[in-house]
Amino acid sequence: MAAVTLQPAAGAQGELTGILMIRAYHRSRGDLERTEVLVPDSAHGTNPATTSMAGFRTVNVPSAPDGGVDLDAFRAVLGPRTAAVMITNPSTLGLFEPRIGELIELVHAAGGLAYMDGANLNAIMGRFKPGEAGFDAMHFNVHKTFSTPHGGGGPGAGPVGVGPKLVPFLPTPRVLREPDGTFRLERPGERPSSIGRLRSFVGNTGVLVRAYAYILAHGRDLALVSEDAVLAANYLKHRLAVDGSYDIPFERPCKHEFVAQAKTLHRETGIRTLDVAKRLIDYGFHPPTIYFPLTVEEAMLIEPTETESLETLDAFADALVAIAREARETPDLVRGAPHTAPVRRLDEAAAARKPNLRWQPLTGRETPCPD
Amino acid sequence: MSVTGPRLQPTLAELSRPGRGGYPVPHPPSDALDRIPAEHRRPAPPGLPELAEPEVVRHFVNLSQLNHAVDTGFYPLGSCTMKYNPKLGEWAARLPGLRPPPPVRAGRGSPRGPSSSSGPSSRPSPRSAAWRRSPSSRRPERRAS
Amino acid sequence: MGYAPHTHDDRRRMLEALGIESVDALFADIPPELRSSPLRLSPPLPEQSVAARLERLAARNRTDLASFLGAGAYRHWTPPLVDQILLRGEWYTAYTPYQPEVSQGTLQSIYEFQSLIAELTGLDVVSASHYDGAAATAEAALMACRASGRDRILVSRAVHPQYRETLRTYAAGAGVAVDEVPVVGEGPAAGTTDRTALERALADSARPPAGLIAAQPNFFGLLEPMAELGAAIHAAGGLFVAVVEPVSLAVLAPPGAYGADIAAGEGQPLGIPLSYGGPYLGLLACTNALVRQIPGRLVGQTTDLDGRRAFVMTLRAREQDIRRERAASNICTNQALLALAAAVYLAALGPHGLRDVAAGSAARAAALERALTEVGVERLFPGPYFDEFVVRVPEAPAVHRRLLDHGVLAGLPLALVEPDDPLLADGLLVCATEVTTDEEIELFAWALGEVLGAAAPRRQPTTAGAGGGR
Repeated sequence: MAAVTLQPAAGAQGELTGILMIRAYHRSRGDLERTEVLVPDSAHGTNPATTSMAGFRTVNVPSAPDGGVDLDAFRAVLGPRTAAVMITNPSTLGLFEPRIGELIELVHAAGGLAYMDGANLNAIMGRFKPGEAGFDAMHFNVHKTFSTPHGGGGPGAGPVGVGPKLVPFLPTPRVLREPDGTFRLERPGERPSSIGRLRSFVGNTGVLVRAYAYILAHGRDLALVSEDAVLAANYLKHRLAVDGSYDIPFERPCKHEFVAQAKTLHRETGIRTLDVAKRLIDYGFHPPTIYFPLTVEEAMLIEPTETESLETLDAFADALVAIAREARETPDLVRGAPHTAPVRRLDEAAAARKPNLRWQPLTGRETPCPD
Repeated sequence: MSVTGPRLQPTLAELSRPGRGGYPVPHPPSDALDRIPAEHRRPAPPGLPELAEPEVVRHFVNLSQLNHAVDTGFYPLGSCTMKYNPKLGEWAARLPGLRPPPPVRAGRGSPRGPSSSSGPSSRPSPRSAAWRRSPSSRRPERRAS
Repeated sequence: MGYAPHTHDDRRRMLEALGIESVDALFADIPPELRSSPLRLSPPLPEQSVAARLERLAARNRTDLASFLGAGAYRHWTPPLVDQILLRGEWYTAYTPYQPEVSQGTLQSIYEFQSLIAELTGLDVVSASHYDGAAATAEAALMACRASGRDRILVSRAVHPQYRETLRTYAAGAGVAVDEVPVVGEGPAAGTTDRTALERALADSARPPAGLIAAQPNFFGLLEPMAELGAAIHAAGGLFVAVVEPVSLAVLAPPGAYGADIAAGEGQPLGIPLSYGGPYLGLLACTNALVRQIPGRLVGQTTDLDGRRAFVMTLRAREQDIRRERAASNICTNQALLALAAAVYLAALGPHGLRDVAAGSAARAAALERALTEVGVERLFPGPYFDEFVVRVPEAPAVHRRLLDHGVLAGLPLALVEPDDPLLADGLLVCATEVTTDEEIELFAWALGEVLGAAAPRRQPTTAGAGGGR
């Protein structure tokens, strides 16, 4: 990428930054007809939500049977109204997008730009550089790839890298290096082509420092991070495939995560992915992401990462296999899980029907002020 | 299998007892708010809970133990990359140069007292770190004592 | 690479299980023409080398200055217990509480946070957090547009300039028009929202406003007539968005009391240390009537199968992972750990502690005003303020630079953020809080007298004791 902004506070804000820059790019060329952003149906919900926030219409693109984007369907919706395509690569199925080169070429030929959702960058460091491949913008989730803590839901940071076409539109302020080697922030109004600010001050600095420490500690060995992450995911996938209790819809090598399904298990025992996930808690594991991507029935999206030992990977596979056996032999045990967590399954419908979003006010019950 | 989890916790409101605790904060002068017109003032303090520090710490430590986290176990949440967070990052983000600490206040025992309203003395006091470490070439000599 | 647990033998066993010689086989699906050039990065560094490098860089930041800078982020004493709690791995290495059975800690902490902020703001519904005050304000504006079905927002020019810039960025994407309401230039109301101009803006019946955004205290530290501003926008059928500073709410009337429909603000003052701009904490709260319009996560109380009280993310149909392109916002990751910090801070301080912090800040600011007056530096706007105010200092940016040499960070010269506003050209926005020491105030006043005296002898203060040191 030609330049990076560190300002966005999270991946979703990075997406908004990227799509707003793409909007500004088209407008700067007087091209006001581009009102659509193409989004594969396996994408994270943030992609279509971002598209709407930036004032575009989302056009969903179906997946092909191999998990990649369906090229014919893509061609059918591509045209003079296409502002951009947002592609997660590797995809949310954990698969490298096999037709990525064609997709980028096609969108460029149609006058649109290519945005990469970098949520899954942990799989491909040192193997694939989105900028070299022709992407015009991408965000990085530093709380994923660069291992800044998730904090129970944040803070993160969502830096955005851009190709040369989008540099003029980067958010303000940028950090500029002066001829004498010192650094300064852009002044208000210094670069009128900018899309503006996405937040106050300069970014989630404290988060970026953690990411910087991580990058310094790994250096070029970041490539090994991706290798270990991909090896662990494929090993775990292989263990489950050999066992056969769960469906593994895509046989080809995955990247850092893979999809398993309780489809057959559900048909044969009535036990669903949700039950398996809750039962994993009793085995001491956090469940994988479930029912995502939305395009896969009874989905479990499993991402072991590179920092889990072989013993842990094996124990997790053993637990999933044991739960499948329980589903046949003692299904109520699975259906009633978790049994050992601080609470059992919750009545989520009641929470939404009559929202109780705070405790009763203490106002008037406190002591008067000492003075 | 994990053992039975720890107990659930009451809420802060349920733990609150009128008149209890309160983190020690220097008391401002009693007329501190007199200059703010009544129409802008809050008639009564907000209904925040009243707790002593040990209760606050126990509450949040006990709550923390109801969580699964990367530091407690495997977290294979697809698309979220829940990998180990090196502790170096926590150290780095807390470097004083990146997170400037507030000055240590002389406090209520200081000769001037926090409510002192006198104007500047003929020379500023040299007590503050800022004074001692000012790189100015124009720095005046320290207070002649 | 010390964070990877795999031994050489582990990797070999995994490769053998997969029936491959090398991990390269797992990347064979990357088209050869798209394979990456090598990473142009340094070799890996041992932690102590990383630490040394970061320490060197951090040391280039000046933290020795007596700071009078507020302007959106404020110095307060953070009880050490806050950071000790935050450093527990159970908090900071957990993810969004999608599995409530193993996330009751995070979920209850968010519920407590929602309750505490509801108390402070006097509003019913509090979002689990947003990125910062600016982004929360922009989201509040979009929320007002959704709720009212209108597409024009009025914002007072006395709202933080960076919030207004952020609002414009978000509004551009959403196709929302942003009209700024000027501030009064002179007289007793100088520096506050111009209500005559507001009435004119409200009268544009061709494009009725979705809402009005005003700040309390405003960017210049002044107190606005919020009840009147709220009544004006309500009369025009729009919503009232109050941008608030949470510590001040211990002593200032809460948004719920003056009719605000939505409150947004920066939660950093609630126990979150200054950190060069972030991570801080976006606050967003609203009335019950708007609960289905508020973006971001909400945690509600419910029961489990055995009837035990428990907490869960709720009203999720507003969110991007469910509603996709029809979601209220794209927000996903928020600032949860900072919301926890704020909850711990508020629990520790309690109603009287927070009130003392707020009143102490107001007292220190008054002491600062007195000290600056004594060296002949007066406030630019005469109205009541909380803990921050603007003084008139000719050539404020240059004076500000020279004060750095005296070890003083003299607030914010307004010309740096509002270069085109002649009213603000000589404005220096300064702040004091409960941690501001007498010594710092003395140093600032003395040094300012020095600099102004040297720069413009005709302004030399005549007050006794002023201009000390010469």
